[in-house]
Amino acid sequence: MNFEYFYSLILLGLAGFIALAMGIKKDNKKIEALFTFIILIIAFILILFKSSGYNIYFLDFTDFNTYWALIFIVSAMVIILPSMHDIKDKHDVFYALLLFTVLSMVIAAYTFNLIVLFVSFEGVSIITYILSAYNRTKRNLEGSLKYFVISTIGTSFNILGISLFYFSTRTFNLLAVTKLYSSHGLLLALVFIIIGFGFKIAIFPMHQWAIDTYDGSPNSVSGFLSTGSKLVAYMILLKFLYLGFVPDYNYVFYFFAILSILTMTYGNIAALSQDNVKRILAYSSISQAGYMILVFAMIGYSYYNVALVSRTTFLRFSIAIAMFYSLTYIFMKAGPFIAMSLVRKDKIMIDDFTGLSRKSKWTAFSLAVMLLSLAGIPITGGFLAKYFLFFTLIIGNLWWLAVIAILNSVISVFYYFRIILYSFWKPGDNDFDLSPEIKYSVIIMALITIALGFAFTLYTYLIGIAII
Amino acid sequence: MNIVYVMLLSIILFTIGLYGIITSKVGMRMIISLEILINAALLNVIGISSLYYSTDLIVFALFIIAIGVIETAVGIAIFTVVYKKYGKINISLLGEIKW
Amino acid sequence: MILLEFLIAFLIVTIISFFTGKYAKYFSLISVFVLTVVFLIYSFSVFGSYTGGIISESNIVLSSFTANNISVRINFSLGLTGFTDALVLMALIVTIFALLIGEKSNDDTFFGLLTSVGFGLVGLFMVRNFLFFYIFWEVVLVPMFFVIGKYGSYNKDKISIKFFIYTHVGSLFLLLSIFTLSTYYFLKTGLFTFQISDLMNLAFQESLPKFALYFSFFGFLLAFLIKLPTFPLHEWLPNAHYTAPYSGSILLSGGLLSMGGYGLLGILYPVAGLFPLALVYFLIALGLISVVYFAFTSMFQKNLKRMIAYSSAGEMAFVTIAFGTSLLSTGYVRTFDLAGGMYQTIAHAFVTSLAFSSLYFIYKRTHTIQVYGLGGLYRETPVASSFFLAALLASLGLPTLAGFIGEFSVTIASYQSLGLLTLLIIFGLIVTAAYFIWAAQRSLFGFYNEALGKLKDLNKAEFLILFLMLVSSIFIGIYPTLIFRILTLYASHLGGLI
Repeated sequence: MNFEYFYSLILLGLAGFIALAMGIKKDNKKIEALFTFIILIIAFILILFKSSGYNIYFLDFTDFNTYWALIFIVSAMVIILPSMHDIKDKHDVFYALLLFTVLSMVIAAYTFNLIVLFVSFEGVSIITYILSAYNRTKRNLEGSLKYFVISTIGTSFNILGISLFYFSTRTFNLLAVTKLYSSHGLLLALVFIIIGFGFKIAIFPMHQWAIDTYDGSPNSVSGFLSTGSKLVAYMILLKFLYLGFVPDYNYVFYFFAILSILTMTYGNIAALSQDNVKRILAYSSISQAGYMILVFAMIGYSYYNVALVSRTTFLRFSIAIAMFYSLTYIFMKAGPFIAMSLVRKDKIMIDDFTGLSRKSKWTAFSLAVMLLSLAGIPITGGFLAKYFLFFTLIIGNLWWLAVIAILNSVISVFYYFRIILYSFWKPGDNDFDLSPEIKYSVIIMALITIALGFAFTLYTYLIGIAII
Repeated sequence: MNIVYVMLLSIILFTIGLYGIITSKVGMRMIISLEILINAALLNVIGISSLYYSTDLIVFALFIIAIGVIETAVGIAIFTVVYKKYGKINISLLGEIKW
Repeated sequence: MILLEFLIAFLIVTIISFFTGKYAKYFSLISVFVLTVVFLIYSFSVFGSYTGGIISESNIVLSSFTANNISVRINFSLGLTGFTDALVLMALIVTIFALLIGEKSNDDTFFGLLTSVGFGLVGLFMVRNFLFFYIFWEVVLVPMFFVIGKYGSYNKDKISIKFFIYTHVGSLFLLLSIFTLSTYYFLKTGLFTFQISDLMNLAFQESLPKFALYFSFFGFLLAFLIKLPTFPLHEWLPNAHYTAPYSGSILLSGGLLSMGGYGLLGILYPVAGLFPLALVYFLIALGLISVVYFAFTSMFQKNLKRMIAYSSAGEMAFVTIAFGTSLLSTGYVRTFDLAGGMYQTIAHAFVTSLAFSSLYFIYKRTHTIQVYGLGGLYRETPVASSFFLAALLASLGLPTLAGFIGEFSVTIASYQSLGLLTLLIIFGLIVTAAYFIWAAQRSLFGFYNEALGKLKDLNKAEFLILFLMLVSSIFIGIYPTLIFRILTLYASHLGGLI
């Protein structure tokens, strides 16, 4: 057994307990946050500089999995600085829980075994119930409660789905799926699994909790919920649909093409009439989920073999874009949620942002960059992600889906630009909380978003590692 | 024993659980409904495991039991805080978050 | 590599100009001026011996990947043609004009935004890769959105978003067209690339299936015709002009409209030989309708700024006509036609910037630009009025001024293919002349509107600005060879491609 592959996992687990112990007597959040951050960086480095291609029991250390593990660590890293400001209660449990979440996520990233995927996914869910209620205000509690109830329903759907999947394929190991025993069972499994994980990704009919929970949770936790915990479900579904559903099984395409169109359109249209900024962001995260699950539709579509390029090339491109989109999504989505802490209110309406550019030009600019990135405007990561997403759709001969996605992206410009418009030139003045934690994390996120707009090399690298 | 009966029972229980969640207003009833939901799914797992004589599914069932317990514990913890805040755990009290 | 260094220098200037506080105007002006001089020297040295085609490409492979018979290559490549050389020069000079007008003189964000528009334009004209072409295409929009929205006047929120969305729709279809071409290029050669020279290649596009070919034409044409703008797609323009500050208007008409002209003549033309005949006639019809339609609509404008906006759209319609008719004509006429269209794209920027600037100085004094609110201005401010009159005359294509060369050559050249339909263009020109003279008569001559009170004429600095613009406009009007030579060379190269 090659222990060096487990260093990062062991480190994260131990550090969780240490973080828990650190805050028992006094609440010195600076040290705890710094400790957590350093641990995450060390874990990141340990994972990054390790040759892949080792597997033991249910863990597979491949390039593909390593990339996802890194993504999850980054998604936790970005909320540490703002959480020092957001979280009013004692911080000890918060950082410990964050580390445990990251541990769960990393394990989920490294495995193709459904039991492990399920358990680690539940680990993330259960911990995030607590995180979203961390400040114990009425809004927190309500959001957390809705999240808890809906997520538990999702869990039971997952259990049904996974058991039916076993019923049809007789294995829990996704890499070992070769033969189909019951086609109807597999269809039911697909439906249940879409419902179960779809609750977490917040795709169209299963989205309503997300709006309330993102609105109610502390801002940095909302950022984490809409990026990290969503991406776990996304990655699990990606592995599931890519490997689990044996070829010539093409319900996947129908389901996801319809779901993604509905999700994009619903998210965009509902966001248009919103005045509450956190809810706008929540709806926008639904519509982004619509773009992201286009990848699943593409995976299903690849079985038809009617793409313009060969099947493996098409799959390579679609999975690469899923991976690239996820990384940019972390920065462009968590950033605006973090920027909500600039307003000294729980319920943040759009006119609370008037006068931001007069108070702090660069914060307003950074917020604008991330919103532009969500809308897919160039020199941002979101643009490159959308660029290659539409590119992949065209490669796959899916012109109609590309046109629908593009029209949706046009609609989305309206509400993103409304926030920009309020923060830059609507008359009015507000008192903003420009504490350095928030300000600098927003600016850093914006800079990374811009940097990702030039990450062509990353994309071509991902095409190389996309096939599992 | 025919697997269909087990699955049927599990689906019936599942529906009952869903119905309970949709209709109940009191926190404890919701948690009980959620337990019914998870255990209905668990029943399905065990039924399939007895069909295939598979240890994989037994392991899965054990994990589900553990997770169900943890979910319930966390749920009760959240409801306790809600109770401290509101004095009741009735769902109709909530409604802070609306557009 | 000089182009790359030039672009990087411009980028640095753009970034710094956001941080310059109250010296923003001077900093951005001086640095853009220096850049212009550098570019002028460069183009004299390189284009002195120009013979047509693309020159001085610097091609950097940013990222490439090859494995199991896929290869992806993303290049950043720069190059200039005779047309783009003139366009870059035009973009730089128009940026200087906009900065000179610069109304919000102590706001560094404003000058930063104007400089970024200039940077986006220069990058767009230089770049020879569709990925970066698209990036620059959109990069121009964002600062322009801010200029209109943040510093605009009437109903700016709605109009700025409308401006952005309208042009963004076109851009996104452009994107799909690029992808279509790239995908089929991969099918043919096994290489994913976005190089313009590879994708906009007649031999390659001939091999495309009909659907993909027409789909890509549709996307390109939609994007370019919205930017130009042509008749049914012009809705964003007059409002954007109306709301935008004057320096924004200069960049809007001088910069953004010429993007459409560049797209048609510089990007799409090499493959335009594949256009079905019906599409060519449709484009010509659109151009002719635009000339007449914009002439009439600007006739009915009560607001001078809107009037100039419509007339500038009418001038750009000559580009569409040149594009269409040159496909039908042959030999030297085609070259002449194309060069005329290109010249019109460039001259238009000079003419409209003169018009908007002189209008700005009038507005600064009278605080109104309604035709009925003005009247007899010549009595109070003879110098400013003269400049405005000169601008109007230049727009209607008076010989010796910039507007003449382009309109004249397009009109003459299109006779070969259009025949008597050319009369429509002449008719449009006559209407334009009529309303310009009418507007001048109403606002500059006649009885003075005493409600405006006593007005001061231009001071020295303002006079100098307008004088500079007028001189540049006259210069390219009476000495067109300077630009026309490289345009003709490039046009004959293009004409030979089809």
